[in-house]
Amino acid sequence: MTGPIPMPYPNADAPAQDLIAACVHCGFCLPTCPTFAVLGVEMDSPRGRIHLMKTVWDHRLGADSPGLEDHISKCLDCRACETACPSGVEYGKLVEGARSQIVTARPRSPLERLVRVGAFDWLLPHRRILGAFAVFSIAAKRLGMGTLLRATRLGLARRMADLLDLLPDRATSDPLVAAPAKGQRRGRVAMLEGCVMGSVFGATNAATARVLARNGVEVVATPGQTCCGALHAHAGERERARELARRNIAAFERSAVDAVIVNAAGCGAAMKEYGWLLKDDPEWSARPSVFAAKVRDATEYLGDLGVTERPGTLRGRVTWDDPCHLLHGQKIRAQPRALLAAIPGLDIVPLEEADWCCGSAGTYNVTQPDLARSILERKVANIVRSGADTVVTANPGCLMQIQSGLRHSGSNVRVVHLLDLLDEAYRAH
Amino acid sequence: MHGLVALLGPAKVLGTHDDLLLYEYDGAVDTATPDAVVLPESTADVSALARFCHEHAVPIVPRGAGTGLSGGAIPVEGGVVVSFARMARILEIDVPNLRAVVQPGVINLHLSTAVAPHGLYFVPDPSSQKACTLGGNVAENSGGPHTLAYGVTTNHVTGIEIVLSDGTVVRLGGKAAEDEGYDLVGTFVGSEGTLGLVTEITVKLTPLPEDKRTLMAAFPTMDEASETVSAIIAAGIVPSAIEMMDQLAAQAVEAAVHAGYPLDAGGILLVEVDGPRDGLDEARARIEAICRQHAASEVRVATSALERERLWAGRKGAFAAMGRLSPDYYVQDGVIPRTRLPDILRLVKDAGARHRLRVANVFHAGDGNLHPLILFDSRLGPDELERAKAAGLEILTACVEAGGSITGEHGVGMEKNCYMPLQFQSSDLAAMRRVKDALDPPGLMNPGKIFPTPSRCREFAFASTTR
Amino acid sequence: MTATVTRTSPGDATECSQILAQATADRRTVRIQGSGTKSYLGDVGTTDIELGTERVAGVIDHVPADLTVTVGAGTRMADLKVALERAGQFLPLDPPHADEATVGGVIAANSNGFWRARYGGVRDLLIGTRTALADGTVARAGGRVVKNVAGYDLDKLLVGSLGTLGVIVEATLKVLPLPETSDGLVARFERPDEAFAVAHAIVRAAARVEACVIDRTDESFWRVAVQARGSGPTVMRAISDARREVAARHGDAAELADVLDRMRELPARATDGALVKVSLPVAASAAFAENAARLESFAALAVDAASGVARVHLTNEDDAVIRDAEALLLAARMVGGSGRIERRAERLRSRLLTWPNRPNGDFLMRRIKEAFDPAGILEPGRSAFA
Repeated sequence: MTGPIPMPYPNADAPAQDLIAACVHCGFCLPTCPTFAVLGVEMDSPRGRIHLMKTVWDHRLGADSPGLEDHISKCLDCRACETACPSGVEYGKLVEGARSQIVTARPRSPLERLVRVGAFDWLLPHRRILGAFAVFSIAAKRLGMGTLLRATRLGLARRMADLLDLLPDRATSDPLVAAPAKGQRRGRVAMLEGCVMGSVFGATNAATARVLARNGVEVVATPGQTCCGALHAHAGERERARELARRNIAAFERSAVDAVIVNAAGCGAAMKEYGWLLKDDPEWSARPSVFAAKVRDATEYLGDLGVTERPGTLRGRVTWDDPCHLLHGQKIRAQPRALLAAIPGLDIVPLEEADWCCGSAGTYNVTQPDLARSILERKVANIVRSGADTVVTANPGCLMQIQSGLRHSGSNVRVVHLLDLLDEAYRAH
Repeated sequence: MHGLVALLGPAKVLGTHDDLLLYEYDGAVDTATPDAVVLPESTADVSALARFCHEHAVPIVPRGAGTGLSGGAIPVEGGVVVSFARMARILEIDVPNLRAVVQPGVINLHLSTAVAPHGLYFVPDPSSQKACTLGGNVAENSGGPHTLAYGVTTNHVTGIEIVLSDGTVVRLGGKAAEDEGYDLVGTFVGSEGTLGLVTEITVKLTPLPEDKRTLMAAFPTMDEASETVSAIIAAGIVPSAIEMMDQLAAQAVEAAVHAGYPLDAGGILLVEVDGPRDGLDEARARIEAICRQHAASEVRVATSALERERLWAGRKGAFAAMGRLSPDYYVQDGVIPRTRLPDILRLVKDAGARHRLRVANVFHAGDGNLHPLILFDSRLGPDELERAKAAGLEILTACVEAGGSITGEHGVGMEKNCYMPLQFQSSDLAAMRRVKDALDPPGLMNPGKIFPTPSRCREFAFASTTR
Repeated sequence: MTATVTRTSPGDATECSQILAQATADRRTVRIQGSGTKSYLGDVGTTDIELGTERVAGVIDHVPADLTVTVGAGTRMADLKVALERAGQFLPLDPPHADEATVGGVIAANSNGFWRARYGGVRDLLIGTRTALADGTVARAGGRVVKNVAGYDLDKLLVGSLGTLGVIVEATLKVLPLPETSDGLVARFERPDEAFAVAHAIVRAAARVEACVIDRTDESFWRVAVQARGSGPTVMRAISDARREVAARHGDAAELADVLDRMRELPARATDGALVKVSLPVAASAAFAENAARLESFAALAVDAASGVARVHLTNEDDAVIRDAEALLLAARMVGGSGRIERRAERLRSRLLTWPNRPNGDFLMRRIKEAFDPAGILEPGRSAFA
């Protein structure tokens, strides 16, 4: 190929060369990649994507090439490849780096720019607006807007309809109230309320606080916190993500706590990486890393601490589905399983490919509807085959995605957050 | 390109610059970009493709998962890369006959997982078994740690369907142990895609052993570890696997998988015996005693399946874990009679030192199959790979001189085809060439592999070794 | 050309290859002979030259700790056995005619016994060869190491090639330490399905037996012979498991004695009538054997339970033998197997071809034969694909 020199990476957020160098292209990641499983091509495998990133450094491919954008945006960022990788390649950092470059390098259409500003600047960081939007959307969904939108046969409208599809039938945005520890105090924590968690799954936040309190953990309120920025970072909006990270760090620093508890796996994974996100910001130096070291997923914290009070008995056949950003992003595997096993009366059955992505992956449903559907169908089939009547997980995206998939397949398997189930068990006393 | 799309449809053909860049590598160090990539979904697709390439004199290069370690899937002379990623179905599990019929894209471990409920498994277990395909295993005649007692791929394949370079489809062998006429199945296994494209494979399934004992033994130096290997064999014990690892390799592995290998040992052995429960503990005790007689500082027996898996995870992830020590590695695959282990290991060390490169060793000691991993950093300049290859050549020369082979399981590919004259005289190579010409007359199947090519091998004019 | 047969016995590979080169130039046909134990194989007539391998004999290299041995192809299996035993090892191959047969002949004929289940067959044990070719060159394939994938596996091509590609002059094989102990049994059953069910359970048991063979002679019962060798505990376990299988199906177990040897030597005894050898998917072997035993000319059969290789001896009037032999080969093909008339009475030669049908891929085999022996001097009539 001759022609002009391909466009190099535009800025310092580019996927780092030394991270790329850790990949020895052994191919161990291929069979763990959901998009490779569906598409079967090297470009849509982790190894292929890393090689694409490398070819930009080698000036063989432009940062603005359509191929790069196509394949990098097909990545779920589920990070199953990280778990499979014997070389310890930090793929999540690489793919987010690549996305940040593509966003800058590729011209966006005015409509896409508008959607990005709307979603990332207005909605996600503003709980009240997001909450109102959620209430409005659920109302629209109930009124059959989905069918109407689909009838327009417009691409954007159809995607909006897909998004509506995901929403639960009811949103709760109850504000999180501080909860004193019951019995002897074993810890003092703050909690991330989160954008989607706070505006759609407010009840889960409240449940999390109750379960923590039951086990001797005091939950203190943290005013000034905001969206964690994970969705921004996944979408390549690193500057916006950094802005949110700084606000959160500042807010949580004000409360002297042992840990910052997150009950959304995607948020926790992102917050644990604030150090990396802000690594080039000299003014903040060590603050992000110090903060990140305090971040704990709710299941991780409670699992490590151990439950002091035995939960009440529940009946049913349940199975556990690992949220990618819990298992692959945070390497948390044992604790949620132990917590589930601590609830008496449950028949816990194994879920095949519990470590596979459900296809939610942030905004993937909206950006890659066809792939998301194939991946979701695989997950639903596994859940149905497991024979469970309840599938337990720990991330809002997964909750919505799996619920929607099950509903479409006509299954009445219930999907529930682990902390909600624990709360239910404690209330069953 | 347009012809291919017209023939197979756009969904099965890749041809853009961006896409082709992604089929220029495999698990080894050499690269070359194909002119097109085809993703067949059936034998008929493969046959149509072969006819097309035959008509237009275009080379065909088969590709499984691209985990190969000799550049076998690299289109060094251009042409079409055929990826079998979409021919990945297990067609039949025949329990009464202890056979499975699979498409070439099936992942090795997926087959063993699929037949496990029947108490069976597929024996060859290359370290890449989580990713590598059975088609690739057939092409390379892959081995693995457990081939010491149970053999390599060729010992476990009884039938294949092949597409010849002119598009003809032939079925050879089947579910029975033997077939009449020449053993063409045995000839195709290990032919590295140079004779035809394998589109279906019938493999033997083996009953899972009733139980296993896995030991990890740590020695002060590699010498003691090597001597222990010979002593175990001399005692009449044939373990299912004997693997060895040096300190550098153990350190990389520990960083990656926390297998529990001691970091201060000069040499580590992983020994496994399997079979009926009766006699296993006796064999384990004898091995343990032999290790201690040879100055083992620690002998640990896995007490649970989990612990055994951890010990093996370390071994199986060892190559890829080199990424933690160095951005690039060049792995050699020479084989020696196992009694020559101590001398050759010293020589490997010297070769690394001479070329100012670190060398880690992790290999199938029971088979005498070395895997020196020569660490280099291509970012420091082309000289790095050159030095790595020079060190590799010295090691292979020593293996041949010790009565061994330049490759035990990775294949010759484009990485070692220039080295073939080290091991074989021209009459030996001529005999192989006759097979090639008989089965692939136009020479379109994976050209530039196995046989030395004048263009790439000019600098390697080896004096034929005397034997 | 002369009509007289020239007998020659070269002393090394080079001499051997020179003879072949000359024969190629003169268009004189060559027949290769070890001990001549399996000269009944194939449809070969008289040749111009008879090339004996008796002078390329003896152990060339044996490093016990490497578990390999390199021998001249003319080495008799019996002599090799003695040599290996001195080092406490053995070649895990138990072909018929083992007293007289040579290593080269065993390889060329792919002559396997009953140990295949445990140790693999000739193709699994052979790791290197040196072969004199028709053009006067000597080609080496494989090597002396147990693992080797450098270049094509020409060893596999030679196994069972019946001398049609060249003269094997040297071979390297895998050997094993001699087992500590041995035990066995033979059980009798009324019905074939019982015998096969027991045999198939035994070969799949956790403790692997060395041999498990089902046979039937003109007596009215089916026998299962089992032998286990290895360390004390494993042999004990294997035989006690086998006894349990036998008892579960009401078989009646007795001492093994020389039963296996007699089963193995069926080809040696089958001088009359025809001996049909088939290789079947194992699950098809029970029905095949049952049907074979009902044939008019049935005399005896032996089936290796592990590999599905079966031999049926037929004796009767010629027409019945021919009809039954052809029926057996057809039956084998129908279940996905293959076969040949391994041996037949001299008078049946013209009426009963070794390979009435061509194998799959015969056109490729012809191309390979032409590439190695363009003049067609080597063993004319010994090819399944001609």
